[in-house]
Amino acid sequence: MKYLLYLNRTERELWRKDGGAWQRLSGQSEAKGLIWAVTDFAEESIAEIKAPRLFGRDRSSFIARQLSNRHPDTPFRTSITPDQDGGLLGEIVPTRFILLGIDAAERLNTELDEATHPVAGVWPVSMLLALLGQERGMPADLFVVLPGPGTLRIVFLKNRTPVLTRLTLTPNQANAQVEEVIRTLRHLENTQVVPRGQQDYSVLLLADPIEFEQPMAAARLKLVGLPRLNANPPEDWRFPLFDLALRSPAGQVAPLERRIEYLSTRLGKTALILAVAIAVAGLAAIGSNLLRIVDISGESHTVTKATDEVNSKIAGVDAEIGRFGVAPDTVRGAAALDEEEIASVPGLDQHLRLIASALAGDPNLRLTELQWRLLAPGIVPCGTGAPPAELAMRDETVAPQGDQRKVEVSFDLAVPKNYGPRDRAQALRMVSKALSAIEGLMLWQDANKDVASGSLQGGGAAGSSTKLSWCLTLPGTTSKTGNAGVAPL
Amino acid sequence: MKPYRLIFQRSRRSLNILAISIFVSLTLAIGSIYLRDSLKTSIANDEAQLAARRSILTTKKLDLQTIQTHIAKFQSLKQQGLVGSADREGWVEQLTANRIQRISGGTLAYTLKPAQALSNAATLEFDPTGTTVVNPDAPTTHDLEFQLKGIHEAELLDMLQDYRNSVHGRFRVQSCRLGDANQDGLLVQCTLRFFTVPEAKKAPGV
Repeated sequence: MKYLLYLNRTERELWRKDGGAWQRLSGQSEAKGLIWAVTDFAEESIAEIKAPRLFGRDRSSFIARQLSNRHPDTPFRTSITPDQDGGLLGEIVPTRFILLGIDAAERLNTELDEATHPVAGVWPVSMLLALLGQERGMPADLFVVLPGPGTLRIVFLKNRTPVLTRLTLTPNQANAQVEEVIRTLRHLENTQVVPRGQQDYSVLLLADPIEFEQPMAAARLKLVGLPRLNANPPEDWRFPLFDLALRSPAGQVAPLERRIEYLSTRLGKTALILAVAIAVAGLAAIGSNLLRIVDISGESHTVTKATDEVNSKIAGVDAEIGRFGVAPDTVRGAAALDEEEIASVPGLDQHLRLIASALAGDPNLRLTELQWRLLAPGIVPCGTGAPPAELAMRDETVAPQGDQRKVEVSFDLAVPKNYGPRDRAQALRMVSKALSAIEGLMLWQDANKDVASGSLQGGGAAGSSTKLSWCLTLPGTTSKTGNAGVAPL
Repeated sequence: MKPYRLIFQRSRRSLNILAISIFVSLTLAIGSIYLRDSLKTSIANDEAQLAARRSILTTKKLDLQTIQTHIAKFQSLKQQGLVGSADREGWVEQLTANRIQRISGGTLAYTLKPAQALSNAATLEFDPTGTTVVNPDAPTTHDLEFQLKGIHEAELLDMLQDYRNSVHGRFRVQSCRLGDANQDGLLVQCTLRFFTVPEAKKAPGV
């Protein structure tokens, strides 16, 4: 239940909002809850001031000085910051301020002291009227008029900012009240608040407008209304102001000392709501984390179980390996070593048979010397720097053998002394041809070519003293080439 | 007393509740986050350990498979003298015996060179100073050079075959030179390369 204390020039009215309707309580009744106070005094004043661009405490001190200068005898004063010109800079460092004050401090203090319950705040009716005039759809320059019993409250908004408020003792007659509005307009023109006679001003009249239409039209004043109230006019035109006051809008003028109870209650409630919200959020976060922790614990249990199983399997495999009494690397290394270094090396006998088969075409030929040796990969065979030109052309033969183990075979041949140059050349050709036919064999030194490209000598011991040498390589492994080059005798 | 202080004083109970609520909520939330993250880290470590153990299991299974596949051959190689300590004296004695058995005449001279570590990348290790050292468990080679005079090719081949069958060791013919033929036969200079693999003292996991 909310209570509203309405104080005007002569009366004190206590209202209660019950079920959406306002009920006026009798004079002896007391409020049983928070009280919102609305004043309608002639001592209310509104003033617009301009300040230099100040920041922080400088600005608040400046405004406080202005307030105390204008309203030195009352604590019921405040300032509000209206919409600013100048864009973002104007919003950050405002220079226009509205000063509000109620100079009837004694009356207000008396009334508030009599209140049995805490006061939420005190709002001058001028400010509430200005807030109504600032609603969306209202003209920027506007008179807001609230007729009372023998009084007339006039608030003028210039560019949506309240700049003047008046409470006049005016009879409740439309003509007189319109004249008072016109008188106010003349005052504004005289004080150059508005330009003289340049426009028709709008009037938001918080009363039945029927009687006012004609005199206002005659005075070039345009009646406007609040759309939300036009369809369903209130029983009392102060009720929209009361509703507005209950929302605790800007423009509250009571000093902090008067609102301690209300503010502490409100702060306490806010703190409790925040405490509950934080506790709920905390519980939600903790619950979420706990769920995740439970999940992780389950996963951890699964992983531990799986690790135990794997460890058990490892132990089993270790036991099986242990039964052999030998390290796997030793077995692997020994088998690989035997395969790569011993078993895969072609035998001396195989290659001797190959050479024998190459010489078999002429039974008179004799070997005088034969050398057989294994060459490690990368060793240049036959003491030559490069392979013979015709072999170098055969990339598919030469290149792959460059990084593989090879067997180098070199031998010297003795030709019978009774062989003439032709027989001798024929024998050499036969040997070279037979060697060339062996698969995988590479001839690095060929006596047939050496003789063919050299001088032809003869007579005496010259022919027999010439050394007939061949040097060749064969694959050094049998695993990849099998018994390549090994021909049966 | 200043009004602000009065306001805070009067709403002290609610503010205390708010402070306690914030403190308890933050403490429990941060605590649960810490616990959750700790468990996450822990399970990540456990999973990494499990993956490592699975990898080890796979390796061990491969090792077992290797042993099962090659154990017969290994035993055979061990029996032939490839695995274990080098029987260097036996090698030269057997060579002499085979020469006498196969060749009636001629002379034999031999040299068994010191063992050499088989130097390839797999057998190299690095000491703490970064210097390359040979793994003491690496296979070794022993070059046995011998010279025979007055021998024929067929006798040499038969003698080598006999030697291969009877010597307690595994070797290959590294090189052979046959020449200087005369009425008695040839001069033969050959190098046989023996290989030995040190036997590991103990199988892992045994």
